[in-house]
Amino acid sequence: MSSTLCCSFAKNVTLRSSDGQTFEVEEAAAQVSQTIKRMIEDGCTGSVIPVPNLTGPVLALVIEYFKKHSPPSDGCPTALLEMEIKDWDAKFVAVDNDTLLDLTLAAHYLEIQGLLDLTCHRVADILNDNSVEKIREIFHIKNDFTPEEEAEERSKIQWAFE
Amino acid sequence: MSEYLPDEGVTDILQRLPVKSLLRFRCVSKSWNSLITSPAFIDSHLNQSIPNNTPPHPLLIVRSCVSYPNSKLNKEHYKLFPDNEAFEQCAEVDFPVKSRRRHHFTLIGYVNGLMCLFEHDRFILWNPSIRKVLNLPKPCITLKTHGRTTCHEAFGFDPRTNDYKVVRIAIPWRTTAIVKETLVEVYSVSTGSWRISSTTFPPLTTVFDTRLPKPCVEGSVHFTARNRSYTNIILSFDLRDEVFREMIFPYNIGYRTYIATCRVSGSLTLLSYHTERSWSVWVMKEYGAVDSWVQVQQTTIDIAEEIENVLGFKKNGHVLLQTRKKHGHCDLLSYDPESQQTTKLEIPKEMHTFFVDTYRENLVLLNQEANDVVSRSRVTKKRKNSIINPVRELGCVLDEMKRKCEDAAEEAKRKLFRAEQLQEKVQRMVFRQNQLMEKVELVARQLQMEVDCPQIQLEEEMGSEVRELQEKMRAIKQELQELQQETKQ
Repeated sequence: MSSTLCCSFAKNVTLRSSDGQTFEVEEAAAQVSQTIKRMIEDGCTGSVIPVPNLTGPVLALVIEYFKKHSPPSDGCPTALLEMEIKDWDAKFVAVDNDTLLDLTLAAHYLEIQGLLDLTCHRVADILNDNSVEKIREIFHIKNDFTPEEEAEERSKIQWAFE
Repeated sequence: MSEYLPDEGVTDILQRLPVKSLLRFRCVSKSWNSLITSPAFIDSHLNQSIPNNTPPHPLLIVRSCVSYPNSKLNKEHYKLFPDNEAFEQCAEVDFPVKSRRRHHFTLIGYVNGLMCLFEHDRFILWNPSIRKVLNLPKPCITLKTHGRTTCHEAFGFDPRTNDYKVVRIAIPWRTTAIVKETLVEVYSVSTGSWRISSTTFPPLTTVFDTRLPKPCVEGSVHFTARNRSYTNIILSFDLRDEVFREMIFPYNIGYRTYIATCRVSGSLTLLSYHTERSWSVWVMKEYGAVDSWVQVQQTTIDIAEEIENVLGFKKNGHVLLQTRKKHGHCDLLSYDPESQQTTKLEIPKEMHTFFVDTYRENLVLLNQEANDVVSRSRVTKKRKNSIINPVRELGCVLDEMKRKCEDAAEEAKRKLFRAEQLQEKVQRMVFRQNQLMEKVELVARQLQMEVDCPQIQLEEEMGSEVRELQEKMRAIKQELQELQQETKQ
């Protein structure tokens, strides 16, 4: 009963990125994000929902994720569907490092637990065997240790560098 | 844009990384260093590592010890094995502390991947995954301050206060004690000190020696004990409230020679040994509810060796066992309950103490200031060495003798225990005999009654008949007399 209701009255919401691009997406799909869900519940549906932390290209990616992960209209997800989504997820995060970090940030900001787990795992996999220098490069971090300080830190845990 | 990744975002990512990478990444920047060493991150990494941070096969850490008095070899070995069918050693962890004695350290507890060990009155906490040792200060209760005591130690983690604690129950020796009552002292990692607890130890309770560390479940450590009404119980000590509680064994646990508490997949578990080759495993499904004890395994194995300890359970259901010391060594076995096959695991022959648990990487103790007790003592030791080497040699001999004595004492204890058992058995048999004799008497009496009854009845019946006849006779006589008189007249 409820599923037919849901289908016939499928509502759309409009999301606007930081650079002013707007995207229309089904309300049910957008509610994958806890942040958007709360906004809809608070009655933001009439107007455009601003997503100021995300640029257009990133928001477009996130909406792709919404669509794939929106609750299926015909009830419980099948094992086959789950497998397919898993494959899709793996391909979805096979992107360059900057995009991956943008997606992580988006997942964090929009409270999308599934996407956060997915991107964090992917980043952790990339980071795991990398050198300190490479990490600084990936995260655009400036080394604020003096050479002496860094040498001292390293000497304390020499074995972790072996 | 990525340089704006907030701290929480970085935390989300970093808590999924293995410990070795995290230690390395402390050098990325000062903010990463303080993030990784912060107590909040250490906690969230520990909690994250429960479900996620597991390699394809979780690892088991196997501790094997030897206590040869004159051996210069390392006395304790820690090896990692993947918890799979093959069970082939994948790494060895160096134990960074040198024992000052001839014996290896005693393991008090293993919680969240953290080991607590002690020798004499020296306690250490060791996190193998970050290779960090914390030397605890000297406990409050020592030979000098309190006289001779028998101590029972345990180590646990209380999730409610997020603190690790070492518990020490010190029971005074009756004759030589300075302090007469049983005291409990507690070391807390968060305060970094020992403190004598204000709790009262339940009177007339005996704590049993166990071969394995006491388990910590739900913020309490668990001893096996006998209470004042002479019932065997689990004595738990709540690490937050510092109170003792009693828990009864399952009522149908049956006959056993030895019982031990342990922790299996987070639940309080009892290992009940029936004979040298059979045991059963009881799990408390709902912590604290004594009616939730469930027997999950009952096993009798068909091997030549006697079983000393059930050490743990592999993911595939196989049981890891330690055999009883024979000709100076014991074996580590893996037993498959389904095929009932045992496999000997490749561990050097001379080992005679084992411990197995899940290896868990964590950063606990990373933010603790390492104190320099070890290094200072090393200096003193060097100075001492030049003077007291001969004394030490003598000490070795003494230690050897002590070890032999301990072995003999253990053997004696075992025999005494066996004798007690036999005595109990004899008592039971005598009781049974008495019962039987009573029964026999009862049956005999019943039989006698059965024989007696008809006779009495018969006699009674006969008696009444005789009386009737006599009366009849009298009546006839009277008639006769009357008749005679009539005829006379």
